[in-house]
Amino acid sequence: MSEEQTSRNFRANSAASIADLSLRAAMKNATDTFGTRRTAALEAIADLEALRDKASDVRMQVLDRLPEYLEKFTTNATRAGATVHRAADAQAARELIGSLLKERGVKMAAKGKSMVSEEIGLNAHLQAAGIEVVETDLGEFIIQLEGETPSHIIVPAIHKNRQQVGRLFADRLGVPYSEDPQVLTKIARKVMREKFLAADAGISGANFAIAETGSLVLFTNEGNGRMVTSVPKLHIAILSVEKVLPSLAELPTFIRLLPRSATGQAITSYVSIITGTRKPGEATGAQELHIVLLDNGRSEILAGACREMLKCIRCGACMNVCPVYRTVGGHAYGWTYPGPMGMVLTTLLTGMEKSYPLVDASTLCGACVDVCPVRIPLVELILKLRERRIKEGYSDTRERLGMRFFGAAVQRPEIFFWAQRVSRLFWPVIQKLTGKDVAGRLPEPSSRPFHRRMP
Amino acid sequence: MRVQLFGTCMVDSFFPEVGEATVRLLEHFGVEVDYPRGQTCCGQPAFNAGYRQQARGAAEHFLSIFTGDDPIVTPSGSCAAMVKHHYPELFHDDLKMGELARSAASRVFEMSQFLVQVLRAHERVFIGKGRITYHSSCHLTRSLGVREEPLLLISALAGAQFVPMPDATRCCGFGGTFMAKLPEISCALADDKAESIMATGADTVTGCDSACLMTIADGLKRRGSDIKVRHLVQLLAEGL
Amino acid sequence: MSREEIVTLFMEKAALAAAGTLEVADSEALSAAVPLLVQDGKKVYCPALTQLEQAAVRDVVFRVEGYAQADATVEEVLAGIAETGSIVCASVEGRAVQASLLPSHHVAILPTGKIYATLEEFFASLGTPPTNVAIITGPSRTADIELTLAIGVHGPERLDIIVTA
Repeated sequence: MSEEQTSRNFRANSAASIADLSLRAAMKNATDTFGTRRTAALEAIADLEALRDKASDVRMQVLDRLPEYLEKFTTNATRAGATVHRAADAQAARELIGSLLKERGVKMAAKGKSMVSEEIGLNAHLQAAGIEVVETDLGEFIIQLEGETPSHIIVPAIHKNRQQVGRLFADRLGVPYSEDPQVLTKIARKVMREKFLAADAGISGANFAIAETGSLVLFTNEGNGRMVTSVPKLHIAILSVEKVLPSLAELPTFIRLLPRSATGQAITSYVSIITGTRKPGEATGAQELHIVLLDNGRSEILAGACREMLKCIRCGACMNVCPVYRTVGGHAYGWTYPGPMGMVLTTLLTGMEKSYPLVDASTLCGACVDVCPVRIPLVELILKLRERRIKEGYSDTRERLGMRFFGAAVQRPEIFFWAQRVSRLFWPVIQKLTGKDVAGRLPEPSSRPFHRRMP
Repeated sequence: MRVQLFGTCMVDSFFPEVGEATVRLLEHFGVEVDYPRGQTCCGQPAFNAGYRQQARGAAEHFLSIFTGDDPIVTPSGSCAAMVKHHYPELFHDDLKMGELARSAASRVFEMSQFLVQVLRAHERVFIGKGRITYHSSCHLTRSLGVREEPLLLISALAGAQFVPMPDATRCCGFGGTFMAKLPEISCALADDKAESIMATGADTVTGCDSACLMTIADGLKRRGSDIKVRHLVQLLAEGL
Repeated sequence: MSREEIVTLFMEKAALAAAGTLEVADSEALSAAVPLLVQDGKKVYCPALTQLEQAAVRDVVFRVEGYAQADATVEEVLAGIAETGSIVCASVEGRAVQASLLPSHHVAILPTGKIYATLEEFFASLGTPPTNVAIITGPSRTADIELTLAIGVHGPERLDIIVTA
């Protein structure tokens, strides 16, 4: 689904989400559940901090030599029969995939979950070209039926409750209404099975690309990921360039961390390792495999001060603990990626002009930093972006003026305390101007500030 | 023993009684309290909003006032964290200021840290009453790693019962300029916090950061609750 | 870890992931166990490439040629991983890994000697990976609706692992 980025309306989006009681309830339920599950799952890890250090080091090592690892991956994937493409940006990727499918006369493509495909707006592009794209992941299937975008990077339909899904299935699929997740899942199984078997092509993402073997690795639970990557003759995989790992020897660290951080599972039902195309004598594997490595701004980020953001393994742990995300849900952020990693990555990828309100979407509480399995210093990155926003001229005018005054006053006690007296004098005016939800929440300044009570 | 007291701008303007309770407590334990004149603000509001230059200005002023070797004590987790973690980094390119910043960072204490680690105040008995619950402020918990000290002090309040709050470490919604820029979200977070507090059945909620307590007080008021909001130093000072 | 400890850990972890687990002493026991798992009427696919596979389906009545029409696949798998209670299917020996994916019931035969203690040990054994390697832990599942666990989505709804000497 390709929609206009609405990150500039973050505040208004948020106000709307806050008023949506069923969304609030869904988000509370989900984030509370995630928290409990993640904590329980991580108890089984003997030395979590050491594992996080290792994961962070591996990711940094890759980023420090990314071109080299990408070259290695390309060579090895090609040797195994895949065709590897580099797409500089979203448009290049969309057009490449579109023409690959059109050239082969693909009428219907079965698709596994891929956040990067959302980032580039792939579905809308393909649909416009007359290719039917069927989302096969249950969460993606639900939002595709609804005509929405994902609101979480792991559980796309987290903002919906069972009644909403039940009604959606009854309306769109013509099945009797049920709100039992087991029943709804079985309905999806049936509907999807026909699609898998009839699809001319499978489109997937990948969690990791292994440089040494040229393999793609997919962490999935439903089986649809395995279906779309092994049943149709043609498989197109799209992933962003930073998802590389050096070799299979590094994979166990991420198998141990990612599912636990994401859903609280010790391991996902399926970890698929796909290496090239079907070889002579084999009965499994696509005949044709095209791997699209997407840059779309990552090289720029890599060269900059916020490069650690590229360590991200897309587990979603940060958004699960974020008090802001919990309150406003994913759609408020206005683009593909929500929550802490979303506000940083969106700003870095789409630029300050399109994203500038997003860098306010944090109280700097640090809950995300506590849970990130690869130790991305998210609070530090948010601060860097706030600084960058001022430099690029997107900061709020009143805030800038206020801070300039603050900067002068804070170094000159006479001015500071004068301002203190004036504020107290004009307190009712200040309250009126800023509203009951800002200064209205502060008590009245004391007539005898603390410094006047001290000798 | 002598300490330098950093009152904080919040306490100075809005909660002077917290400053007074801090002094009373320290003096009760025989500590000489020096209150350097002309102290203003640690610079956090500017720093957190990305205004590094202004934050540096605030830090320079702070460092010119808080000189010497005495411990610097402050009744605010977030201000202590600002000095401890960000002052050295703000002057990474300045040899002289960097030195001063590192010195301040090495001797700054949040009040409950100082009470427990230096004064062993939790081993004394204070008079307390009622059912008390505790909000664990973000910077105090995650930046300074102060988790146990406030709980030890609460348990020293004989006669009071401690009731843990669900999600005690979840943000109250203040977030500095956040509460002014995204008041809808801030109020929603404060409301969630109020709900957690009310679920405990406590009659008092305490914490170590006035900004949080202020946000919590407003959240409780909007819910029509009469649960008392007290800084931990106030509970201890009242229990002397 | 001793072989016995590895097997015990494997069975424990596999069960936690909602796989059925069974240990049999020999081929004879295997032949007796499989028909009970694939209840009467289930159409069973088996590659029948190995001795164990042939023993497993010796007394199974309803056999089909292809996995696409089967209700259940009975097959010997490449390996097991005790740390996670996983089995591994791969596109070696001309095997169709889809056989462990499309039918609703998967019965995996795993010789104890092929169970690795850890993920590292398994990957070290892999060398150049075959085209398709699937590390499978329990039946298919989702928590996409209200984070409520539902077992059996697009992949098998039931996985039984028979560990044999």
